[in-house]
Amino acid sequence: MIEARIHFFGPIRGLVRKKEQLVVLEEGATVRRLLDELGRANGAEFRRYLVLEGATVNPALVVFLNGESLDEILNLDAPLPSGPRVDVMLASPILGG
Amino acid sequence: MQVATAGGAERQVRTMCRLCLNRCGVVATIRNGKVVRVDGDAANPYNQGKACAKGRAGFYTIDSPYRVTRPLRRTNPRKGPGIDPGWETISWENALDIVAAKLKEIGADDPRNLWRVTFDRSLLDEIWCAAFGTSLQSLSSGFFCGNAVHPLHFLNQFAAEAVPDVPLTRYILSVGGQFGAVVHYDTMNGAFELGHNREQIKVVVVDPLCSHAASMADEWIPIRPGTDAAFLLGLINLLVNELGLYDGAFLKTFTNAPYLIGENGQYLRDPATRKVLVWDLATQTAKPFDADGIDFALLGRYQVSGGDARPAFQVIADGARGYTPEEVCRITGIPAATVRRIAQEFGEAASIGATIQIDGRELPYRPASVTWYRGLSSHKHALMNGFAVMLLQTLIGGLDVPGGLMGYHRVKYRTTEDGLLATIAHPGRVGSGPGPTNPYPPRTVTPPQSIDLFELFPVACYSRTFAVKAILEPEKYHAPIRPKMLLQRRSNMAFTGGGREIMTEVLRSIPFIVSFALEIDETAEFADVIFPDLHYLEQLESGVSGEYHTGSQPATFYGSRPVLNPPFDSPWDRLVSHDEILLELADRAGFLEDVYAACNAMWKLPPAYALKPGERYSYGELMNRALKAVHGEDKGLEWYKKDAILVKERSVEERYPGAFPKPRIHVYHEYILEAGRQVDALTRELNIPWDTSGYVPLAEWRPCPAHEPKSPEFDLYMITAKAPYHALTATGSNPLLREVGLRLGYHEIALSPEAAKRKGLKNGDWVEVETDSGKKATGRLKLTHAIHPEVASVWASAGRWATSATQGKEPLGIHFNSLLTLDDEHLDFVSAAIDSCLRVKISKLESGH
Repeated sequence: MIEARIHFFGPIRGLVRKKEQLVVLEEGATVRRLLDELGRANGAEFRRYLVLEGATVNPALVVFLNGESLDEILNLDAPLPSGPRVDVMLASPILGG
Repeated sequence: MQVATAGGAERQVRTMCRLCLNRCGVVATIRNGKVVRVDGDAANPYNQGKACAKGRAGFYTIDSPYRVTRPLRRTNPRKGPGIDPGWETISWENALDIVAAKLKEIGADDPRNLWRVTFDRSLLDEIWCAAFGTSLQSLSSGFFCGNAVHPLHFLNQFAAEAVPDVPLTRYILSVGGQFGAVVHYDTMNGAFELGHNREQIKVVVVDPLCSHAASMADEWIPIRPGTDAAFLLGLINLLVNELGLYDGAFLKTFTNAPYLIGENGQYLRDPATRKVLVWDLATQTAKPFDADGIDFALLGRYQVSGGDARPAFQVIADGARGYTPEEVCRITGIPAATVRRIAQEFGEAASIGATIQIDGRELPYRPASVTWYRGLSSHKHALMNGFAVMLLQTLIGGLDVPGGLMGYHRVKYRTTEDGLLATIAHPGRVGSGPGPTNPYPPRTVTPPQSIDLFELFPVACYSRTFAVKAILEPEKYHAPIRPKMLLQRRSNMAFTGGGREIMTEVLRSIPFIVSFALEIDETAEFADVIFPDLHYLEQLESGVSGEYHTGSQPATFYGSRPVLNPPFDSPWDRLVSHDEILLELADRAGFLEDVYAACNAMWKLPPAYALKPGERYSYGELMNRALKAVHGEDKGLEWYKKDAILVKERSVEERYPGAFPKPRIHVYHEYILEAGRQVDALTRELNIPWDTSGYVPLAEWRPCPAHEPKSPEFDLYMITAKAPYHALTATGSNPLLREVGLRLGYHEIALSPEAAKRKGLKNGDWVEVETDSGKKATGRLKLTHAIHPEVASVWASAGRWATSATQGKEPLGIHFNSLLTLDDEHLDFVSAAIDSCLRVKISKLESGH
């Protein structure tokens, strides 16, 4: 099993009303599966903000897996990083101009 | 360093000027416990070892009689300009407890109700906000600043800004900006590089006002305000449709110019693979853009699957055709012959096809640049103006190549499925540039979640103006967040926002306001609690990973180091950063552990330096770990305190990335159509009145509201311009700079003698200015030939009313922003800019002032 600990940073915390969340997934689970699971667990408002279409999430979201940007991973159907524990940082815009 | 002089022992401290965005490296000289001078740091190439007059005079405010040295609490609940807040001094402990209790209350409800605002980000500002659960905004900017600038440079240069490659360029066309003359990221470097190379470069400034930058140019071309896009499209028309001066090879290989556009304005795609199609001249067929061996068509009309298709470049050529020199003259007031001459000069200077040897590599050489800023960005159709100027530079292949326009504040990028460049965000990483503000791919449009309705602006870099709208009319905009607390520092939104009246209304609507204030400025006047702020010469703050570089200069790491202790009561006189107050507040409000977690995540601290739950760390220790994680074990806090500068030469690939293979960039903005469709659908669904007509994929000129005055008596345009002797609102109380400004007439209204004669006015007359929206102000005329005859202008720093800024005297000059109108007609619903091109009438005050 893969234990993914998700840390919510920035205004997205106001949407999900929590600081972190633990998601347990089967071995070989993909990034898409993780985000689907998060969407299911956090209500319609969050799901709409997340938006999983094609190969990308809403570009307003910043997702890091074990410190690596999801933008660099590119493919949502790639398996989650190997190892029993995955740290996920999910943040909404906290900067700008 | 310590030096004995006849006047007593002297020491010098290397630090950073924080008065404006340039953040020059400076050296302060201290004698007998007082700063006696500030000079540019000769070892710092970022600002060429120089400091401007503002920076050199910056120490005059350390001992300001208006300085806040103890925490204050308001006793009068009534707020507003001219209303005495009834300040009472309270202890630091008391102030911390009051503010921490509010933070705890808001954090437990919805942390987004904290509005955190600053224009001078510290080491921990973003991290603190992320840990609390809110965003960090620069509300002092964003109304009319880089709204159209940042998105376009991110899009085509993976950079927040850009400057000409001055050592190699031969032609600079400056439109609506003051490169090298006023506060900005590259002012000192730009000014001195221009000085070194002045005789080899032709500088042409297009501006309604012969600004300080224009006064040093080879040629000043007066233009009617708000018509820059027409001028630029006129140049594009001539270059593409008449002169044939464009870099076809570059456009085919490195842009989406060959992508086929269908009748609906969208890309044509292969039905099976969804890949964008191009036209292959060799086989006379449509092929996927990434197929091998294509002879790309840039021009022509083709039949694809039974429908008409044109390469994006042909669409651009067709769109520009209407901007003939004569039509441009009608719109801008610039003679048609001048438009033709500038197009020829710019196109020829670009030296299409030329190469240059640099570090043994043969690179494209495009020694022509167009620079721009607020003159284009502060308009109703700001993004279209940005499209036009970026298109001109892209047509000549002059992006990030020798002699061309050089991006800085760069971010990483990736290639999208359509083969196009998209930047990668680095949340909270100081020095990595602003966050996810790339317009492509657009953010998904969702119901508003942010104070500034950012979710309804999928291609904008920020939408600060709409915070004002959402706060004042939350039901209309479905705004779920209504700020319950404002925590602000170095962001004088009451002065720099949308005008005194409307900002008063906004600030009065916020139940609890906390300011960090060096002096009580127009915004701190609304505060409930004030913490004394440090003077920038009292700060210890590194940029962590922030290496500053500009143009083809080396990358330089440096930062702020304290020159003196602040004049606060013990033990608070040992403060070196307002971040220490933020950490204390986080501790008392119960989210210090979250701050540590955010440090670990956003600084990517490796295990050796990671912060551990249950431990406590000082501000210095946080900085120490962050520095070591980036620069190595031997470069922690002690190294920083002792030396604090690293200069790193950049490779030719780093300096000129445009000369090397990378994803394609945009000349045609197809992505914006879907973004506009989403905005339209959602705002209809939520019944939010919204104008989506500006979501178009190509530049076009559209008139500002001021071009269609409500009555013929409003016969003048009014604009504002930055003066070089003031920086933002950080220098208003400096007695030296104030005197310089007064001598140079920064409080007066510039008007041409021709316009004055027409209206029966003369130099020195006191006049009333009235906008066609009914806003009024009074001021004194200064007649000058250095302005377009249809235009009046006031200086951006004038009209301040806070006691610290006026030094207890009457306000001087017109506050331009108070003449603005924040209604649907004047707001840009794409870039969130507010139109700051006014239509006014000016009449003599018979009674004098």
